[in-house]
Amino acid sequence: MPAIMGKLNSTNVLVLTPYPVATARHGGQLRVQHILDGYRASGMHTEVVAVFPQGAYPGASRHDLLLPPVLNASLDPRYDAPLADYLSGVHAAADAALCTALARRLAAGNYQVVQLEHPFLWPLLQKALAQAEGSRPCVVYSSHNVEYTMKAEILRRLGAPSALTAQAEQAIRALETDLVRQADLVWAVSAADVARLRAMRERQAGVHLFGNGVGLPSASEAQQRRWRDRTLPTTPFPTFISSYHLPNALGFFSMLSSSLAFLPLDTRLVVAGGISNYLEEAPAFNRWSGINRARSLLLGTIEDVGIAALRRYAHLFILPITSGGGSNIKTAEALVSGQHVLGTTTALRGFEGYLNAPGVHVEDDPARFRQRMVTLLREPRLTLAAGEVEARHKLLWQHTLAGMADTLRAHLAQPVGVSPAVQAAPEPARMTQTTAHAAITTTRITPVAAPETRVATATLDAPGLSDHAPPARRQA
Amino acid sequence: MNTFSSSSGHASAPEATLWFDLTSTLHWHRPATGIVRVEQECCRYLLETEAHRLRLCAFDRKAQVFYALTHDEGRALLNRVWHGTDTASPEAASRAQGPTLEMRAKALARRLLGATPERYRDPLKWKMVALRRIAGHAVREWRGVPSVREGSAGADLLETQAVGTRPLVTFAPGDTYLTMGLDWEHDKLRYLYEAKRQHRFTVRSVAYDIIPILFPHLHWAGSDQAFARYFADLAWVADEICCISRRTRQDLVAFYRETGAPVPAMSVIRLGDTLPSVAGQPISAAVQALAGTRFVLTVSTLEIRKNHETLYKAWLDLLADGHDDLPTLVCVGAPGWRVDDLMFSLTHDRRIQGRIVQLNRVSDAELSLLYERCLFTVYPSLYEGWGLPVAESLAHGKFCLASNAASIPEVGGDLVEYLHPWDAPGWAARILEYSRNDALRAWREAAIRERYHVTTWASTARAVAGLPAATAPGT
Repeated sequence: MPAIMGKLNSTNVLVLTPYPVATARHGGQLRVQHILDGYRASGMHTEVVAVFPQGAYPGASRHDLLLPPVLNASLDPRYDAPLADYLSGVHAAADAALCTALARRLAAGNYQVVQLEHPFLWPLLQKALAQAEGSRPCVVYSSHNVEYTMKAEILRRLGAPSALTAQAEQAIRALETDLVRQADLVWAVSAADVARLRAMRERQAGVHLFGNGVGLPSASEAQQRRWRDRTLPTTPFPTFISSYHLPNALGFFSMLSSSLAFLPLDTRLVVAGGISNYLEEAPAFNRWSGINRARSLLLGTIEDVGIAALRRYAHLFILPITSGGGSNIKTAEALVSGQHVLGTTTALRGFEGYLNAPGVHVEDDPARFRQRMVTLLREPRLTLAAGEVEARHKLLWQHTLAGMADTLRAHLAQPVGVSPAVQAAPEPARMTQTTAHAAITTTRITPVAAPETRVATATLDAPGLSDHAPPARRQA
Repeated sequence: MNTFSSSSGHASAPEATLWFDLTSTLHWHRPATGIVRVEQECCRYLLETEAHRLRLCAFDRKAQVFYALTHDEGRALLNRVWHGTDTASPEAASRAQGPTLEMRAKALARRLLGATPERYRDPLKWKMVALRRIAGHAVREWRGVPSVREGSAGADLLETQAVGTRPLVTFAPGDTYLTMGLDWEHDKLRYLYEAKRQHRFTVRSVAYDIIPILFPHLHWAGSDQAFARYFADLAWVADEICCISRRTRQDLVAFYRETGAPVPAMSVIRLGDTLPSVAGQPISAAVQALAGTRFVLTVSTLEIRKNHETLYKAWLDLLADGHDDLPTLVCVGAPGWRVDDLMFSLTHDRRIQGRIVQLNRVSDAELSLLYERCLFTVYPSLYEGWGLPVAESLAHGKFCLASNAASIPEVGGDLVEYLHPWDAPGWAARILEYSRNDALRAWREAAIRERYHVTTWASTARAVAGLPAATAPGT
């Protein structure tokens, strides 16, 4: 009974995500997890519904809405993988049972706020809101990127036909723009994204910056030391911690090339996170496997103590990021580590305040990037002054997300009808129909059959193309 | 454990120590060929002329240390004479026989390596190399046939002596370390890199070719990656790499540019083309018998890249055309890799029995005799870093019909006639012409006598050691 009373008295928030967040690994999951922590710490009651293809992520809860492993949506099977999150959204919106389930959940939950992580489930949410009885909750769009430009960039770099790229870009842009305009509030991860989202929204109000951050390690120094002794090189080493995300892989090869022979023979690049699995199989990495395996340590996904040990003992964090949107959590992690950081301008997007900080180096030319890696490894370990450590600690989640719950609460406290967005918005059900139809027709998804007669397939040789959604799967 | 540093006993020496790495010779159990010959001949020369500052060493891969060898120990190693106890006679070679135990073991090892995941391939290969050495000793013991007959005093003992009992080497600033052996098998570059950072000595190395990287299909699986790693590592260790041809330098520079490794200083040296004369080496009955006949000589390991296939086809074509006066083709060289089918054909094809003969474990004296007595030589290789048999042929005054591939034209210029290595009918036609036209051969040989300049190992050794070219005759 106290729990129910608490729910009745507090602000109820439903967070709709394209992945589960209970066991967060990649950047998007971590951000959502810390947003939830912040809401709960401020007294809000939060629930999460994840919508994703069955088996794509570990840790599904009974509240999640699972899609079939093979999606019933496709643009071009060769290039569906990097669009898997978008296609998941299209599939979900076309699944009547799924819409009904979400609508029931909305009706039963008495939510004052529905927060959407990434834009792709917006058509589903619109339909469900139309079906659900009761008052319309406040819709918060929690942006992680400006998605349409990032997707188009990925497709271009994969060599997708320009017509397909334009088609996908147009469809995602329409979806994203509609959501940005319809949402009551928009959270952005960088100043650049704030500007772009405001332009899309066609007004300044309602878009707020809450940058990406990083958490403090929970492992003790002794645990970290043990892990280092067991795992890490004894000579000064650079590290790259990154998720299984295509822009990360593209950046790796763009900046470091397919050979690590530029590194001295006693140096090993320590790679942690999902990117390791990608490199393990990538033809470009294995072209010079003899050189690369001798000069790298591919750790795969590692536990928190490992991440903490890398932060403590790495000599240099590299951020060879050349594409993608938003801001990078891995950049925050590198900056908070207090070690030398070498990144690109793209990698430091959203962290411009640290560009001139001690130990932070930016190189956009690949040859100069590699050269700088070698010279930085010869320099002494970085020692930061107390003030600089404090400045870096402003990147902890507790600081970057500070004020998010208050902003939301302040918005809810406004008299009903104040929000021009809500007043100006068309009737949600009609929007749902229009938007979903537009997405399907403009992208010529072939064919949109009943879920049980799945015919669409997705194939792409490159594994691991998005940290927001798993690669689309081949039909069995 | 003793430590042997360059300064010990030579504090007042005006010249820095020259270290010579004899690791490959130490572990070589057959007549020297190719790379091991380069190591041995350069060492032999430097022992004569730079003895006051030359120190010999070898690397122990397992212990990851260099240990010192005395000059006498070095001479004992260089003077080991490997006799042709199993030099194949023409009769033996023509006898129908399957692949040897060694060949079968090698083929099995290669299949095993090929099937092994890449990350485990190197460790497994090293285990196999160690196993091969042990098995080699065991087989020799079992057969009761000593491999070393002469000049071996102390050499066997040296090889088996525990590293812990030998003086270890510490390189000193200003020293020069020379290495020119089968270095990719020694796993010593990491050690050298760290030692160099501490002691700032100079490393000079020799690059023979990067063929396993360029043409991995001509080698055992994974060799391209092992060689790529070796050369990438060498870029970080060597102060100068002496390339044995312009083609090798060009290939290596391209490799370094592609992989992003630093490009060290590179020079081009010319390998010596004289065979050492060791007094008292007997000539086997098989070679003596052949020396009195009309024959064409080809010298190289029997491996796929050497392209004996073209010669086999050429001989078949000529025999099919009824040229019964065709000379015998004598193939000198050990069976190598990726030639199982060819070996089977050479052994079982009745049309060429007695017409194509294989000789293995031929001593230097025997090889010299074969060069002197042959009509001419043939060398149809698909790719080379140099082409030593072409140079040896010319040094013996013998014309060579050679492949036009890679570095080979650098060796003989216009003294050699070149053909595309796969043009079997072209080879057949020119072989027939040169075997019948005595005047043509004589004209070619006269040009060779007049214009070919024999390269001594002394000049090669001086170039590798970074010494100024000697002006005195014979050096």
